[in-house]
Amino acid sequence: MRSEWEANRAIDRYADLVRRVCMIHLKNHADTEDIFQTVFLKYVTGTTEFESEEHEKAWFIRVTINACKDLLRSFFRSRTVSLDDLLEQPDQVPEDHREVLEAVLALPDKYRDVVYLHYYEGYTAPEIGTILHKNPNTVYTLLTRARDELRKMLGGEDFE
Amino acid sequence: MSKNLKEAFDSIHADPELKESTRAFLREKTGNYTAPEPRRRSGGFRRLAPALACAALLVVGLSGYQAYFTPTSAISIDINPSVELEINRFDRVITVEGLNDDGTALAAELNVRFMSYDDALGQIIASDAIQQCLADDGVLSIVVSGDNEVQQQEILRCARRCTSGESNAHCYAGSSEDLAEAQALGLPLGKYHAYEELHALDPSITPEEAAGMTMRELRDRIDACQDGDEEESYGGGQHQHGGRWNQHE
Repeated sequence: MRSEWEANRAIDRYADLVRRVCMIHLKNHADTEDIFQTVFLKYVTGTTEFESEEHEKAWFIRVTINACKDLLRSFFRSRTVSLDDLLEQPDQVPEDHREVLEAVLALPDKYRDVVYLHYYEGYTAPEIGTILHKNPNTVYTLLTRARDELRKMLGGEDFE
Repeated sequence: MSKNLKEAFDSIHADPELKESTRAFLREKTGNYTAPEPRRRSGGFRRLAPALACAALLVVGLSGYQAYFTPTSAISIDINPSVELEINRFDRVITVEGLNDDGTALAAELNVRFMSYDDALGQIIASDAIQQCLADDGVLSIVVSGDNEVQQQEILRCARRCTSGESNAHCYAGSSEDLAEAQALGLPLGKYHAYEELHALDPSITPEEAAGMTMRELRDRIDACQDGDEEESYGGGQHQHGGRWNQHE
């Protein structure tokens, strides 16, 4: 088992990352809290030896995505989602950012992870392919389609 | 786009209450990081026994329901109607999905949900739509994928039996990873394999183009590439595609 110091370090380092991945997958704040607890408990009780900080970060991304998908497989989950339901303090998100985030949430599931990992975390398509166990060509295609969809939703030339 | 998305995601943070509740949860679950999750025994258990029994029944009922509707294998049938069946551990069809317009029309006509996969495959292959395509020299691809290898092989044997009279039918096993890739590209699994094979020979083919082609057209184009142009350069196409995304935008 990892120590309390390691757990706190991981929470400080990866809490925002886990929060953002939860936002693009989950339907409400209560589910986010569930996933938070699940992911960090797996980290504390897990035995994976991380080769580097990048390896550890990719682990958190992968485990959080899987935990979100497992939760969503439950038959009794609501299918509707709003940004307000997902955020603890929705008023603190500026309006133009809300529009962008809502556009991301409106994308099909399969696009959201690649959009987040490429445009926010800065991973290349091959790196995303490694994290998500996808063929890099698939990632390229998903990114192209996601970008087209976002441009349609947010306005082509103005959206930069 | 990169700047807008980055700023938007930057505004999302885990709030201090969430972090603190997670820390408290971890301390509780790990016994303050000294032991594995504490287990409760005896005295308390007796008092809770009736409630636990009810909960157990509920869990078993829900688990049974969930087990029935959890797919363990998938059968992708492509000729031009493209249809995908999901099969559960009890060898029953639990979902039927058309993957293109013709496939959607065929899926709507069929009544194979909850049938055994054996009966469902027989009915689909005998349908007018499939028989007409085969008569027009169409190529029928049946790909079986899933994590249960025993079930996968049984389904494959059944598919081969159902198509034993058809010279243009090909049945083979696919992996769950391939199925996920195919679904991500919006292609039926059989067509995805053909697309990958063609893409290796002709990198200009896109998933959208492949989606609009019949299996026969894909197969003919693969054959043409294999027979034809020896100057085709595969490596150049891939580097060009990779170059667009290797830089941060």
